[in-house]
Formats: sequence, structure tokens, C-alpha cells
Amino acid sequence: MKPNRAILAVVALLCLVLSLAIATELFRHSSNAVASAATTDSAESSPASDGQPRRGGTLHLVEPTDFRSLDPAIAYDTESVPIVRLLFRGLLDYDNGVNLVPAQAKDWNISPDGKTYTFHLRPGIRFADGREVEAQDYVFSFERILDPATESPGQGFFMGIQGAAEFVAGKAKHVSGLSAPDPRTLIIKLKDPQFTFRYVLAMTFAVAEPRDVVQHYGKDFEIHLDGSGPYRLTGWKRGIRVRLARNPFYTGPDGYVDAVDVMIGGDSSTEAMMLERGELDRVMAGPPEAIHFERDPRLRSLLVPVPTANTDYLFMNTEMKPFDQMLVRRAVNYAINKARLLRLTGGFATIANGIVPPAMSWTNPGLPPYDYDPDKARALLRQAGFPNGFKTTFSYMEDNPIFVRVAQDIQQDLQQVGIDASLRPANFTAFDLESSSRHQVPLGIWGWFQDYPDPSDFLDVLFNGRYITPTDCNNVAFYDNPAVNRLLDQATASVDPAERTRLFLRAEDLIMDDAPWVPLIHEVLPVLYNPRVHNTAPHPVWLWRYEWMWLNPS
Amino acid sequence: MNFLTRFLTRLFWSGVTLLGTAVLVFFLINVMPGDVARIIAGPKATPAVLAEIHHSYHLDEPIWKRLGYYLNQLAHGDLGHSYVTDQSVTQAILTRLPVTASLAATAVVMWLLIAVPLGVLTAKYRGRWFDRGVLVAATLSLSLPAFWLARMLQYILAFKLGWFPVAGFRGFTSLLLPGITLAFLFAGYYARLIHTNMVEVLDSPYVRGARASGASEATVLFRHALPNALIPVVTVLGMDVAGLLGGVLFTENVFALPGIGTLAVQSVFNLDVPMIMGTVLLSATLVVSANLAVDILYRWIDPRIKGGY
Amino acid sequence: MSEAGIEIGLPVAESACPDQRAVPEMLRSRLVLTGSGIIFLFAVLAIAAPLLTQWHILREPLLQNLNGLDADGMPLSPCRSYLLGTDNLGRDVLSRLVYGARVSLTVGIAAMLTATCIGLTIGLLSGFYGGKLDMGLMRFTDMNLSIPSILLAIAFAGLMDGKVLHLHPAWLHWRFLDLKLQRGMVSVFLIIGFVSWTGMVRVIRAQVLSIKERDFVHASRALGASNGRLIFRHLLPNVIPTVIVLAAMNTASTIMLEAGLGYLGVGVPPPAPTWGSMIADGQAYFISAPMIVIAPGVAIVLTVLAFNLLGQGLQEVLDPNRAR
Repeated sequence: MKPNRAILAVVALLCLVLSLAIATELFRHSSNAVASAATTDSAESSPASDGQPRRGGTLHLVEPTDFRSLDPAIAYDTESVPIVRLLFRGLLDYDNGVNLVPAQAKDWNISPDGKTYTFHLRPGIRFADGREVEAQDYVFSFERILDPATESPGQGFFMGIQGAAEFVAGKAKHVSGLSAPDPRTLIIKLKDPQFTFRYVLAMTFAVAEPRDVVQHYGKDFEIHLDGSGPYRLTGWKRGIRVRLARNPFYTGPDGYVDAVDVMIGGDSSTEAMMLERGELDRVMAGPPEAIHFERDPRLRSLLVPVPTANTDYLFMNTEMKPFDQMLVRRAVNYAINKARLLRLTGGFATIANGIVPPAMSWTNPGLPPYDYDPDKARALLRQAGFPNGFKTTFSYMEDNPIFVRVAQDIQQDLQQVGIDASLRPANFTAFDLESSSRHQVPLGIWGWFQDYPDPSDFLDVLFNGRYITPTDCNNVAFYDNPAVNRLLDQATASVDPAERTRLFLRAEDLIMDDAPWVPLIHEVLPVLYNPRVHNTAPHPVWLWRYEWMWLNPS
Repeated sequence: MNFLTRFLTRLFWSGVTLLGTAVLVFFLINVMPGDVARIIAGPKATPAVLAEIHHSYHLDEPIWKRLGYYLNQLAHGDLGHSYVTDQSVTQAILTRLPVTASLAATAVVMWLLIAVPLGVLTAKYRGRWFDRGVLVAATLSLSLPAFWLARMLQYILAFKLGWFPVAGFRGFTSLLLPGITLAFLFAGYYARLIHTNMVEVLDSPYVRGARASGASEATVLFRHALPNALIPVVTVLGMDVAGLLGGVLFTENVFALPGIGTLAVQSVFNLDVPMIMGTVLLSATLVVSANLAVDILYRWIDPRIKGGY
Repeated sequence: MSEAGIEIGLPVAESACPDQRAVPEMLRSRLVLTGSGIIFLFAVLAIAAPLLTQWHILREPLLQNLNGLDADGMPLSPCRSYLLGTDNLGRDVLSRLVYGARVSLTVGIAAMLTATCIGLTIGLLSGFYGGKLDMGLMRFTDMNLSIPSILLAIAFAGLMDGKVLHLHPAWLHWRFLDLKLQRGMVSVFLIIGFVSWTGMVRVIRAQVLSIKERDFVHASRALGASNGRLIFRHLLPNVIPTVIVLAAMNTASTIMLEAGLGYLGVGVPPPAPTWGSMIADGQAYFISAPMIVIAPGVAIVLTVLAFNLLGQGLQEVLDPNRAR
């Protein structure tokens, strides 16, 4: 029997805890590799672009979960698309802002009636296997997107092409509106003029794919991706690592790093630690890491806030009582304290006073904001016939930690004016299903990211009553105002930018008046960069462009 | 019974154990309530995928026939297909096995490097505070949760002090800290084990005889006592593979190593049943093989057992 | 971690009625005292938790508390109102820690009881009847031993998605035999119990085998005692000391398993406070608020250590022949 053993064990444990606590405190103020590098580097160069871009080095990226797909016909999320852009390019691209410029097209023009697009391809553009890009490759790519067998989420964007509906229904073998009279000329004919089609051509859905390679590999094209972008795929171990190397045939000015290495796994705090230690070059921070970096003066320069063209909003189902009354909806608008909401995001958001986000480089100057005014809210409710408020249910997506906090906060705000909203959390898939079905969700929080920088992507898609469907409806407020519908349809048909702007401005005014939404915030994504990475300035559409980043020589 | 018969018998029973595990796994999937195809497909079950599963898993046929197909499939090394991540289970496991194996090997080497000297020294200086201290540490280290210890060590040694990479796999250096974590957990226990055996051996007539014959203390310790003390350690190592795999699971997760452990955890989050079952079968295979190997090794190195039973 | 430490070199207790002599010895063993002391402390806190909350010594552990977050929405460091700080939803860590003890101890002990029942049954039957039954049961045990407990537990937990298992034939509407496969305390402790019994079986069987050969058993048999009587009146009581030791060590591993499952997110579902899930949730805030991760970890270590000490102490008392 060892009498002292037990006591020694407990004492040892307490010593362990004590030393851990002391260690944590002591080391909190010690310097670590990257932080000191950040302070010295900031004297020479900030993470913004400056200095002479240098070629070389490997960019170390990380993703917590594997890409669902890097096939340009399938990839549709903010983490996959930037990688797809490294591998594939298309006819048009954006400059450093929201203006379209020709990319792999030498020049292009649109017929006066707005229905025919003609592109002339640049010579000498090759895929990673060496073959030159031809117009037929684009025809193939677009048909592949439309093909129901591909199950592409981008199919809807291309339905405006002449003959697309017949092709999709299986009645035609090819899309009559697509033609390639010679290998360098591509002609696209639309059914009706569609101003936003040009933006669709800049999306990653519309890139050139080598038709012979895709047909050869079929489903395996996923791991044998071959495109005309600055990089090519050299390896993809599913769930472990993705490797890209330079495409030797690419002739564009971008593509500075020699290779890109994407590690898959890890949670946000581990990734942040790795970044601080210099093991990673870019990390998408979660709220706790973002705030930690922001508070630390040595680390602040590593944080690049990326404003997104997004709006998170509280929607009210205009087909369900009592939200069918405009006065009630306006009351809710006055009841929400948006400034306090901002606190919950750790400052990584801007307050939304309208529907279309300012990051889209399009603002509506005339929108009167609904200020925080609970007394006015109560007055409006009384006017609407609810002197004692009312009960309702409040659904939200629990997968998003910001939404969780925001929901609780809003519930309290509503409580203040007499509205008893009981919380109903659900996971993404369930929430998506419920909210997009008629007569299901009276009140909820949702968000929308732009597909392309045009206000129709928000206003027309989300508020045009003509597109309401009983399920899978994007217009979750089920808002249907004939005056607004008319304005939106006119804008869609118009090809005059000034006229479109006028119509959209008017439409947004009417919508905000009617108040089917309470626009809450525009999210800002906190991204962390290693100080050795340059040219990390965010892009309004692509968010981050790896092909323009370059590294300090090691 | 000679060695060969013994070996074949053990091999046979190992095979039976594996077979039994496979059958157990089969019934777990197929007897559970609900549509089997849906269970296998995971949350992303489109009708096309379900139809494919119905076909390839022969779900329309009676259960005994399905068991036959299943065992046949296993015999060919095909552990099924994961629909959630769209890859072959065998492929996924084989890509990750080297990392897990290297980690396990590193860990075992490290903890033996710690445990053997500690065990020998505490046996030699039995009764002093050093001896008791190690015993305390052993019990304490057994009580540490692997994931918590891994986080602590990662934070202090890798993040704050920068002595090791924080996470990810970039070569052998990435295995050092995870190996140390596992070593931390198991070294104490093995030190105690070696200590116990050493004490027993040092008191045995065999060692007393060696001492009497004038051998130096070092020779007695290392040439005569230690090998005998290590024999049961080999057995325990073999039996402990299951425990080691459990520790590896958490350690790999914290250090984001692309091994079987992270695969197992990811598949639980994704409700990827074929992958989960694949990892279960794999660990069963590993453990059974380890036990078999240890059994043979044991008979070979322990002169008392050779030739008879 | 296997309980191999016990499997090696565990001789049979020679005393015919160990319990009577052992009790005063137990009270003198410092291992047993320390171990049971810690357990008693946690148990008292756990049981008293709701009362303590009523008396405002502890705070509400489940609901989000915006007052517990600072201006940026981050957890608070330890201070006077929150002795161990708050977690990511503003809840008091100390209170959650105490409520977590309720979950861990309940699940741990319930799982241990399940495992003991299974292990005891199999060990007794295997050792007593021998022959084909013994071989079959041992093979079955081997199969279970081949799979790491945590992995098997995860696999089981992965199947818990709300389906209903009908343990009765379809035509017999005995609803009480309908098991809803949903993650909750009951399914968690059952799962842990089902993967933890293997360590006990070998030891119990070995014990049974040696007791079986003793004179008093032979005598009883000669006098015409039935098998049942032999098992229940002679074998079982003599096996109890070993079982008690095994149970204590087993609880240590069930609590560890529960923490592991909670950490991976497949244990008792949120918002129930479990030490494992507290560590998982707190990882992201480790740099700014390390207490969220350190505190539950220490709690786990203390509890598991306590049961290990208790087990070792009992072993020394009840099986003094075992070398140290």
C-alpha cells in the first residue's frame, strides 16, 4: 500500500492545472513568428498590393471541408469558385471593379436589338494539355450546362438562349442559338433581349472546357480537370489535399505563384494558429478568431475584411397573417435595433438599410431608413389593430453562428413591442425547404449573395411576384405587387443602363415602402493573410483572386 | 502440437474473428429499421443514387444471398462505395493508412524510449520517491483525455513556443508532436508494467544466479532481466492496438492529420455509413493481425513457451 | 485504454468471504479514501445543482445569456460574477461544469452497470459451462475486442437518427418495446455500455474457472445442488470483489468514453452541458478564453482519476496477492 500515492496524484494534478494557467497567461504576451514578422513587415509593405510582383513560391491554402466539386459546371460556392478560376477561364472577366472586360475573347459585340452576341476569340489560348481553345469548346460547355444529365446549378442562367428549352426537353440534339461558324468565332442568339446575360458569360459556368477531354473522361473529369486558366490540377486526394501547378501554356499576365497547395481539414481555431505560425497563407476566420486578430495590434494588419455583396434579412411572409398588413411589417422594421445587432457580428458587417448591397457598386440614395423607434412600432401595431401585440413563430438556420445570435437578439426586440415570437431553429436543408414553400414560415432570417453585380439579381429574383412557385421559391416573403412586377419586367427587357437604373431605383423604393423585409446587415468576411502574401485586396465580385497574389521571396 | 499447427490454428481463429466482425457489421446496416439504400446513401440521397444502390447491393434479393455477395466483395478487398464523398472506401482508407501507421509507429517508439528507462530505474530504486512519483504520473496520465491533452500540447509546444508544426501533414516533423501526445498517455502505464515485471524478474532465481556468478549490475539489468521483463510488454502492445487506435483517432483530429482517425470522425459527421463500417472493419483487421503477430512473436521470444503449450 | 493491467497476473482471492474483513481495511486505504472523496464531492454537487441554482449560487446552464458576453460578443474572462468566465453563449462555465457532472456521472455509472451486467453474465456462463458455449462466447468477445471502443461507439451513434426500432413482432402491438433511436442520455449510456463490457469478461471468467475447482463447489455439487444454485449461491458471491474492482475501473473508462463522444458531437445532444461538448465548443475561443477548455478537461481528469484510484485501492484491499 502506498499511502502517499493518492495525495501525490491530486497534488500533481493541481500543479499541472496551475502551470497551465500560468503558462497561458505568461505566453499570452510573448511574441510568435508571424506577429513579429507582421510588425516588421508593415514598415515595408502592407498586405495590400505594392512593390514589384515576383513569380515563384507555393501558396498554402486550407479548406475545412473538401470541395464538393471543382468542375466549372457544378462549383457554385465562395470557396470553390476562386479555385475554379485558377483552372478555367472564359470569354469575359471583370476588371478590378465591376466592369466587364474581354478575357479570352479578343473582342465582342451585341446586336442593336440585344439578342445576338458575337465573340472573336484570341489566338494562341491553350488548354493545359496543349490544345488550342476553339469556339466549338464554348458551344460544348454551354450545352453541357444546359444538359439535364449534368445537373448543373447554373442551368437556369442559360435558359434565355434560343433553342435552350427544346434542348433541355430532349427535343433537339443541339441548342439552335449557339453556333461556331469558324474556330475563332462564337455567336449566341437569345430568345429575348436580356441585359444581364453578359454577366452570366463572366460566371465560371461559362468557361471553356476541352470537349474531347470531357467526353473522354465523363464522370472522371472531376479529377482530370483540364482548362485554359493559369494553373492546372496536379493532384486531388479526396478529403486530404488539392495541388495545382502552373499551366505552361497560359499566356496571361496573372498567375504569380508557381503552385497552390490546399490542405483539407482542421477547424477555424487550428487554422488561425497555423497562420500565425506561418504554416498557412490564407485562412477564412471564424468570428472568435477574427475578433482576436482585430484586437491585437500586432495581428491586425493580417486581417483583410472582405465586403460581400450580400444582404442578410428578416423576411415576413406577406401571405400569412398578420404580416399581410403593411402597417405590421413597418412596425417590425421600426422595432429592430440594428446597431446592437452589429455588435453580435463582432463588427464584421455593415448595417443594411436597403435591399441591394452597396458592394454591388449600386446604391439607392433616396431610401429613407427605418430608424430604431419602438414607440413608433407600438403605435403602428395599435393602428393595425394589435394593441397588445400578437404571437408568431420565428424560424432560422442554426448552422450559421451569427444567425443564431441574431435570432435571439431580434426575438428580444420584438418582445419589447409586444410581439411574442417563438424560436424555431432548423438546419440549412430543412430551413431552405420550409421557407421556400408557400404558407409555411411566417417570419424568418435568411441571406442572399449576389450571382453577378446587377440589381436584378436581388430585386427581380427575390421580389418579382411572377416568379413565385409553391415550392423552391426564392421570394420567401411571397411578395407580389403588380406595380413592382411591372417595373421589374420593364427593367429586364430594357438594354439601356440608365433606364434600367431608374426603373430599379423606383422598384426598390416601392418595395421598401411596402416593407416585406427588414434588411439587417451586409456581411463582411474576415480573411487572414500571412504577411508574406501581397495583392490581397478584395474584389467586389470574385472576393479573393489567388492568381493575382504574389509572395515575398523566402 | 508443434509450432506450425499452433500457428495455423491461431490463423484460423483470427479469420473466424474477422469473419464474425464482418457479419456483425453487415447485420448492423441491414437489420436497422429504415430503407437500407437510404442508410447507405447518406443524406444526399437522390433517386438516381438510390436506384444505383438497389442494383449494386442486390437489395431485392433475400438477406442470405446479400450476405454472400457482401462477403465475396470483402474477399476481393472491396469495402464498398461512399456516396457522400463519392469515392471508394478502400481507396480512401489506403490513401490514409500510411499516415496513421507512421503516427502509431512513432508513438510506440517514443513511449518505449520513455517507458523502458523509467521502468528499469524505478525497479532498481524501488521504494524511493522517484519510484512513487512515476507511479503517480502513470495513473494520472491514464486519466487524461486524449483530445484535451492534444489541444494543450498543441497550444503550448507548437503555437506558443513554436517547437513543432501546429497541424497538418508536411512530412515527418508533423508526426512528432502527435507522437509525443500519445506517448504521454501511454508511457506511464508501460513504465509501470515494465517496473512490475522487472521487480518480479529481479527477484527470480535466474537473476540471482546471474548476480552470484559475478556479472556486473548493468549486465544483470540489461542482459538478463530486461529481455524477460519485456516479454509481456509485447503481448500487451498487441492487445493494446485497439486502445492505441482510439487515442490516434482523437490525436489525428486535433492535429488535422490525414489519417484513418480523421476519416472516421468526418464520416460520422457526414452520416457516411459505408465509410464508418469500412473503418470499423479495418481496425478489426489491424487488431486481429496485431494479436496474431504478437502471439507468434511471443512464442518465438519466450524460451519457456517454445515447443510446447 | 484496455484494462489489461488487471488481466495480467490477477490471482484469485483466497479468502472465502472477503467482504467482511475488507471493509475496515478499505476505510484505511488512502487510495480508496481519496478516490471516493472526489467522487462523493462531484456527486453531491451534481445532485445539489438544481437547488444551488435556485439559491443563485449557480447560474442557469442552458439558455444563451447576452450579459455574459462582452461588447464584441466574446466570452468573458474569469471575474467576480463568473468565477471561471463564460462560454461562447454567455453561460457561466462553473455552473455548466457542475451540471456537466450530472450528465457524466449518470451516463458513466449507468453505462458501467450495463457493461457489468453483460460482462458478468457472459463471464459466469462462459466460465461455468465451459465447452462449446465458452468457446463461442470467447470468440464473440474477441470480435468485440478487435474494434476500438470509441470507433464502435461512434458507429452506433451514427445510426441514431430518430428511427424507431420495433423489438416486438409486427402483429403484436407492444408499444413499450418500441425503441426510438434518437441521441439522448439513454441511448448514449446504452451504447457506451455495449462497447465497454469486453474488458471485464476475461477476468471474471478466469475467476469463475478457478473458483469452480474449489472444494466447496465440488462438495455442493456432490450434494446435488443445481447449476443455478451453484452459480448464484457459490460463484457469484465469490466473484463480487473482483467485479467491484472491475466496475470502478470500468466507470473510469465509461466516463472517458462519454467525454470523447461529447467532444466529437455524437454524445448527449445540446444544449445539455457535457464536459466533452464544452471542450469542443470552447476550442474556437481557446486563445481568448482558455478556461472554457481547461476547466472541463480538469474535471474529466479528476473524475477519471478518482475512479482509477478507487479501483486500485479496492484491488489492493480485496486482492492483496496481486504484486503491488
